[in-house]
Amino acid sequence: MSHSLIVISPVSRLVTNDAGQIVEPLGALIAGDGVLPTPLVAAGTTTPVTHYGCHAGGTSAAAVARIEAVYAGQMPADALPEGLALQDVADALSEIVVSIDGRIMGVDAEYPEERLTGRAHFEAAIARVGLEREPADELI
Amino acid sequence: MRDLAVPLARQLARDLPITIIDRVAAFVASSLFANNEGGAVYDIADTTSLRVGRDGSGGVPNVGDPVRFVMDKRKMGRKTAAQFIASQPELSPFTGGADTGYSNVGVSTSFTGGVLTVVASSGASDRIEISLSDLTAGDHYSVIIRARQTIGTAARIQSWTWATVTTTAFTSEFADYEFILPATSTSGLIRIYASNGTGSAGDTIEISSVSVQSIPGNHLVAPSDAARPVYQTSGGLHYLDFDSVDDALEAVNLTGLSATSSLVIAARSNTGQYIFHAGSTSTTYIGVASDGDTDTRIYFSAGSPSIRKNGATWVPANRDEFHDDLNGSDCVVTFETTDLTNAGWQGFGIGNYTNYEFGGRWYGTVLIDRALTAEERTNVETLLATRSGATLA
Repeated sequence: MSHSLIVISPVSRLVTNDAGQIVEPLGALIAGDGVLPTPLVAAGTTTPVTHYGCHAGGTSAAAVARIEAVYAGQMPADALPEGLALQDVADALSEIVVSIDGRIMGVDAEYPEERLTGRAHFEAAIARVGLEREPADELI
Repeated sequence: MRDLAVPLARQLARDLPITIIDRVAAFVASSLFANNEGGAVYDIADTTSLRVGRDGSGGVPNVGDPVRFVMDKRKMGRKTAAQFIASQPELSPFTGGADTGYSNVGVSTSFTGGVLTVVASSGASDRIEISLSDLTAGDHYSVIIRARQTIGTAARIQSWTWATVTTTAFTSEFADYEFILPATSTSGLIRIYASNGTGSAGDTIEISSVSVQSIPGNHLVAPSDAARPVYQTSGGLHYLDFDSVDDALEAVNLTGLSATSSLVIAARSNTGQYIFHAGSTSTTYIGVASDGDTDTRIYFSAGSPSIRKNGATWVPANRDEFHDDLNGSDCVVTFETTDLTNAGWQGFGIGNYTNYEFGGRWYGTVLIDRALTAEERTNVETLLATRSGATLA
């Protein structure tokens, strides 16, 4: 069974990589290369962008198990991102939002009975933390 | 013999009261590109053209797996991607057939029974190197290393000076480690380490083969690990499922399209967006705004194509009509333009474009920088209808 994963980070944590992408430094520990492509604003506003997020459908059970272990305080021996200390990870977990199938890690004790996927999951997750997608520019 | 199938069938049809029923089977989209036209052919039904990793690692996806690399098949003829790659010339000077084609850097080696044993002498950066030449900058290459670790911890590093690849651990059993990498120049170097970077003298790996084969084409790559679609099947159809949040695939080097170009797409949009764009940094796209938008400017932003839906001419009045007629339905949509601004097509992408997102199924696409004849167009539309389950008019 694959899972739906969402990561949201405040801009104060984020860095820009060589390709100009917005990156969460926890990177592979949570979501692959850590790129967060979707700009978010506080609900009811249009600017400024306060957070960035990403959604990854098809997340493997092994990846979910790793994230669950991290939130349980069990860091896999080879999982610490380069250049980060254990305290950095602990600090990060207090700032970022990770949702798996609708369960906000570190907040919700259980997974919801009806697991969320896709855009519905993303919209529900950002609403839980008081955010909205940045309004799109006119297409043409 | 296969090329004769259609003419023979037509001859029979003239001579006998029979109906040609094998046109789709006989037609192959690669045949449109006989004069080296620019463009691309993407066909999700050929799962061997898909890879889990952005660097081609992770193998062919299973149902439910993410897809971060999709091969352009326009130069593959009737072959599956796997058959095509296997038929390409071998570029690696070390194939395991002889004790040549590599050099040692801090290691001792021995070659027995077609297997090269590599032993680290001091640890961290001890390796063998395989030099490649006559590469084409920008082209992708399949690199498959068959190897195992016999002494040391379970971590070996493979790296190339011509592209960045994932650090991958060898296991204790022989296995194929595959990557698909773009060459950045005409030469390249494959480095296979006998140590994991912190290893010790005596760490040992065995290599039975290293294969390097060209995969020419405008391949699609996800912009990041998380922003990628998922491979799914339903009713015998194969598709990539886009999440309408951030999933995307891009061929940023797809260049050479001319003002007269044709694009045929098989997809099912399940949101308000239908986005096929021209690279992450371009403002050219095919798209439609949200339901209820009455703006009439709905097609290419750098051209004014005629449009067909499911094999028939279609003139939607505005974005709302465009959207409503496509939304939730498996459709084959054809765009034909004679006034495309070439500068707008310096790349091709599917999915996310600055907050406009495609959500739904994508079955395949044929893009070519010339007009299609009526017969060619019908063949392409019929082919993509079989891929998507759409019913042509």
